[in-house]
Amino acid sequence: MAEIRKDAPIDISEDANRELLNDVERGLYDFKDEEREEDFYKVDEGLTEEIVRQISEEKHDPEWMLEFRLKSLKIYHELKVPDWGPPIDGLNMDQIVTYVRSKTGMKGSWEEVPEDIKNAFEKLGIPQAEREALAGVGAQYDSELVYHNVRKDVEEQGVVYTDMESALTGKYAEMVREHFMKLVPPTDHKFAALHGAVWSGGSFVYVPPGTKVDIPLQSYFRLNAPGAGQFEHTLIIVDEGADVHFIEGCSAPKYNVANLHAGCVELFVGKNAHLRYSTIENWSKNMYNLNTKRAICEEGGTIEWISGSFGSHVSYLYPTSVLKGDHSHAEFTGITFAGKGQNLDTGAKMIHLGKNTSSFIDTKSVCKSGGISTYRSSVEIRRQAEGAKASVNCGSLMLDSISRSDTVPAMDIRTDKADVGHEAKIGRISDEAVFYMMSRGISEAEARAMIVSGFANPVSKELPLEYAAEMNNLIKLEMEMG
Amino acid sequence: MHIEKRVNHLPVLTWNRLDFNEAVFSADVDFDGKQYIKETALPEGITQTAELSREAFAAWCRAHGCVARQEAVVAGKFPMYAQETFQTGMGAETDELLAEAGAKIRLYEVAEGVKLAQPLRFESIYPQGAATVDAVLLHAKKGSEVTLIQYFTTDANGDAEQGFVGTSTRVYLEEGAKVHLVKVQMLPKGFVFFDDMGAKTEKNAELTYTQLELGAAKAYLGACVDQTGEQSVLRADLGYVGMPGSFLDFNYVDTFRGKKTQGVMRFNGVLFENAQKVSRETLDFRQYCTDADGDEEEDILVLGDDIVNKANPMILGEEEKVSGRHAVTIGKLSPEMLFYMQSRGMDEMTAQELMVRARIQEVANRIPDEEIRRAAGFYVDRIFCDRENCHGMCRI
Repeated sequence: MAEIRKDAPIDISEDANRELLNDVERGLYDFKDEEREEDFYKVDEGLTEEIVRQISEEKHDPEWMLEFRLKSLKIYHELKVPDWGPPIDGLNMDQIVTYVRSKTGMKGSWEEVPEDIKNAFEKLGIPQAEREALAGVGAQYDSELVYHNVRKDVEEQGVVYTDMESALTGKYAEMVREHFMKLVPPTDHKFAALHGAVWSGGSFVYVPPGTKVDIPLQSYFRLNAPGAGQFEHTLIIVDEGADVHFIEGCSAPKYNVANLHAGCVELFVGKNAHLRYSTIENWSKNMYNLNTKRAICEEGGTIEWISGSFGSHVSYLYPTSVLKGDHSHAEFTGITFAGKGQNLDTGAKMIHLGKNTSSFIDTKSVCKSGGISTYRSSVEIRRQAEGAKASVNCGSLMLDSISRSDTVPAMDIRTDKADVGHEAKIGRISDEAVFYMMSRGISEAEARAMIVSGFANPVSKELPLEYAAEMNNLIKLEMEMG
Repeated sequence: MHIEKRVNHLPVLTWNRLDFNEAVFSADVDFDGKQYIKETALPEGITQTAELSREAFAAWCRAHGCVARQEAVVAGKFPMYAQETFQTGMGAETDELLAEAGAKIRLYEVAEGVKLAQPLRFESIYPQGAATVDAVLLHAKKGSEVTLIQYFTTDANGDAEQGFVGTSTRVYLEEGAKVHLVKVQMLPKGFVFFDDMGAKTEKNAELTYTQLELGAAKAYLGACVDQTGEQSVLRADLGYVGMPGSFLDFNYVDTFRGKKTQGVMRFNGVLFENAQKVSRETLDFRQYCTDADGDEEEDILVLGDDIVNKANPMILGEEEKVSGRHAVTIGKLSPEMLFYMQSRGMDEMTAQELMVRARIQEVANRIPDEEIRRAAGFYVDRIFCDRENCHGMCRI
């Protein structure tokens, strides 16, 4: 942690006010729902072969999946904890419950969802969002989906949007088996192996050739149980010429014990297909968010990542785009806001394999109140990727001197027939800009919040209106909190 | 003896699979214990201690280096290598090598207020099979001004000649001192070369560092400048040419500690086919360096396929009130530029030569030594003359 200046004055009353503000304002995400033991099924804390077998049995896995889980567990034990990122010493797998589910099962109608769980999602505005702006919704509570629904007209287009468990044994079982953890193999890193062993929940989406889904699909992940892990798997296959926008949101109440999120997202973008994947992540600040996201694009395919990272205690998050097909394209637009007690290591990876591929990274990071924000990226252009173009742009805004902001961008170029540009800037809010706004009657706090919102504009303008509004609220909230 | 050293550590680690976190250089060398340096006579106001003991060297580093504070172990990261008492770009294992190879350590002290009009020129001419390392300490006292040129060249005729040459330079600039450190390497293609540098600048001191890397099969370079004093200034320029099959690995770190410190780093390179280059460039803003300003830029022209071109330009910040920028441009000669040149009667090879020459001259022109500037020009001539079809512009 960065050393706090010894000469910094400590205003107890201001701190107390900030804590109060913290408690009041974060209520939107921090509400806790007491889980009655009898309503929930959970495995013991820790990670053993017995627990993995138990999860597999609970989920009625096919035989191959049990084998896959056990193999992943073995790999997990063989791999080392990363030595290059933020410390995760506070995460003790022996104290994590890897599977918790409501005994009620998944519902297709909102009315059938148990009242307490329904309340949690109502507070987060999920059904409202579904009514107003979504083609389909999946809501996961702890380890399993509790609600899933797709609009009839979207279903009639042939779009499949279902929970992973159903997909694993239903009509699309072979397709799932063919793609499951092929893009992110358990050998990728320790937490990919962990995911392979204990994954549960998540969504499967298939968009048939030439199908354009006009309004977004959404999954919302809520981790409510203290000391639990969430390991959802999202698998999206967008077939040739198809087009879809998928949104995921995440939140959790704050506890005194560590929670873990080690989800996995695998996106297959077909020839000339287009996928936009948007995330607003607002995990609570006791969460270790060790998530893996990866997309592969065939010829002419496009993947667009929009990412807002606000929550968690520690994050390792680097959505990866593999540009396999010629003329495929990837864009990553992201913002990270690290506040008190947060160490957020985020960024993107671009791997150019096909000819005339292009990638664009535009990221912003903000840190304050002792938060640590690291932008980490890699752009790899392989020898065969002639005509590749890559551009990286990252900006960091520091709001005080007890925080830390690092930019660690790596480039590995193996052909002469590529153009790569990289730019990064670090700085602070200019006094002139604040003075200008204050001279027009805006308070200093408001002025600073407005400037930060403006800084985040490249991300928020890419989001649907209601999500952009949520992101701006989160920025405002973070700016107000100590 | 077999040597294997871990050098050029990235100040903040990244993914291991990218092979950026450090470089490992190994070689089988029997050090010859010889000095190949041709020094100019020392002018008045400068003193030399010809051979510093290991103990005296360590004491000098302790006395003038920047004591690593707690925050030097980067917040939230892992301390991966032992902190030196006087940091250099290549790191502590280079000092181990100095000891193992029995390197001679020379100390030069420029007296307070002395302003040397002529550069100090240390020309080292290495023969075939040379195997040597040495170290130089330069102490520029309050208000002094000095230019030190270290020129590494050869009397060997063929590019097949082999050798192992290493050097380490530490510079301490007292308040208001101005130092221009120039390093030029034009060794044959078969040589292995390392060049390590560390500097500390006190209040209002100015360090200009100009480095030209044109030869050797493998070259490892490190530079770490600790801008401790308020309003101290660094201007660093590195020009390099990666010839076919060559390997270059460098690590430049500018650490801002003092208020209103300024640092500019420029890297201008050319890579021919099969050349490999790994660069690490860091602007490190430490707490309390308010109003510091750092700017770093790398421009790489790629003139051949099968290259490895790796770059990691980093900005580390733990102070809010700073301004830092970096930019990297990697690419071949643009079709527009080529078209422009061809429309003026130049063929592609000539256009390439002009671009290479422009890059090298940009750095060479900063060197206050006519002979070296001319040698750099001849070097570019040779690059293009050595090619299969000499296009007729060759002047040698």
